[in-house]
Amino acid sequence: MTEKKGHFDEDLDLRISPKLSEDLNTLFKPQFSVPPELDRAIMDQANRRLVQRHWRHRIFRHISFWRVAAAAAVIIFAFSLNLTQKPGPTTTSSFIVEAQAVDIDENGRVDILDAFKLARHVEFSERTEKKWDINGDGLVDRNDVDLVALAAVRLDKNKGVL
Amino acid sequence: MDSDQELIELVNQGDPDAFEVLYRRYRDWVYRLAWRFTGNEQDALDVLQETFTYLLGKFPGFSLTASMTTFLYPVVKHLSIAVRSKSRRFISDEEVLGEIAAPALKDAQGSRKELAAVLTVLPDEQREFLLMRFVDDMTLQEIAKALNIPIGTVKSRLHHALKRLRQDRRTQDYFLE
Amino acid sequence: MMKKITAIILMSISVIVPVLAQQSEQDNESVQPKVRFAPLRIYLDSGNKSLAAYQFELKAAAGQIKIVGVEGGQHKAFKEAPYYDPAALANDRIIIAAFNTGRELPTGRTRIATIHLQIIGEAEPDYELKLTVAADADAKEIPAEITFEKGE
Repeated sequence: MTEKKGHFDEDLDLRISPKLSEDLNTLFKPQFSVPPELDRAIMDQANRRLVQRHWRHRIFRHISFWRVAAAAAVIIFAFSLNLTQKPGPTTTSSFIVEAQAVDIDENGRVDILDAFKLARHVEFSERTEKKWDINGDGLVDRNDVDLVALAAVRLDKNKGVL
Repeated sequence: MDSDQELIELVNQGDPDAFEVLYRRYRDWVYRLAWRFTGNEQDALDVLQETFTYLLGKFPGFSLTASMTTFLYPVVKHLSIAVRSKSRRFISDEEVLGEIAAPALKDAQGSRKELAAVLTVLPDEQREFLLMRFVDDMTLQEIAKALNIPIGTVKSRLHHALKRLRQDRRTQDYFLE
Repeated sequence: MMKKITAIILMSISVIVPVLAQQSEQDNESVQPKVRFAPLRIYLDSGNKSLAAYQFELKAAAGQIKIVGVEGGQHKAFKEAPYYDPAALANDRIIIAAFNTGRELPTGRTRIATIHLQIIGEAEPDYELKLTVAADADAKEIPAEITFEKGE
């Protein structure tokens, strides 16, 4: 039996004898390991490609979805608390407030142009509006832009914009 | 230890050390798979290098949405076919795939030669699952994840592969108590 | 009499059930779908206008697909991975979007994204690709043509 992964095989008929394991490995495992020269060649290639590349320091560099999702989760939780305390019309009004917040150009639809326009405001203009602070951290910056972009690509718009 | 996702994020930002961690993590897995597909060390090393060159070319801008093995498995397979096809210009991809999935019979001796012969006639999927489990040391769950199929399918294929070995007179001795 | 009938029923069940089980296993075996991977390259042609932002939706019109990777585009303005909803990965539908506030933007036909797909089954998938919006550097909507190419 291949003991290494034995604890995963609950079915007895999916185990094999040590002899069969040995012969399979002899037939199919390469006899030689990867030479260190090849490791060095690949790492040199990686160094050349990654380090020498000119990384633009964009303000709106794409943030990991996990961080954006975490920020969105905080906001969803905050809104859900609010909704619990104020049922009925306030539920609808909170949804409308969320939708209005990310509809930056106020054209009645949320798409990537809302994120793009907010990005242009933040990058090129000193004018920002408090309602553009989507995540409520007191700043209007790329984090808010990413949340608007996330709202634009959300599949189910009815579940709440954020 | 950083997850693959975290390492990819770092490589997207230009970190070669993160790429090296990824490389070390998957190098032997890719090499073994490439060796199995190509049948010789030199071709396998070529495929290894081309696989990581291919991966390197994805940065910046790469986003991994499944497991690394799920992403790398078809890359290694296609590169192996390409390497083999270079010397076999008029052979179809299917024929090459059928050949490269079989073990090197000429190097096998004794009972291993019989085992190799039986494995050659197994359906491709059954043979591949058998090798992923007992040569690549992947758990049933890792195989299912790498190929994005239900674990029940993996178990079924493995069960049938072992049943064939058990029933074939050339390999049934492996299963005597 | 009742005992005889009961015995006949029980015997019939003991014969039929294993046969059905074996048939079911064989049927299950024979309809296990084939799995393969392929990239789908998405192109946008904005003519002589610079492309600064885009959003499109991809849906499988036929066949079964799963999205396993999303890559950025050809031009450096869209090289980084675009925005998409992670929930789309459990679907056969995805919305993808990106923008760039810089000055170096592509014109004409450019590859904006590559989507890596797992294709399940023998049927060749068919795709519905819909461009939601394309815009220039001033965030003005521009006409553009979106197409795709299937990779190997």
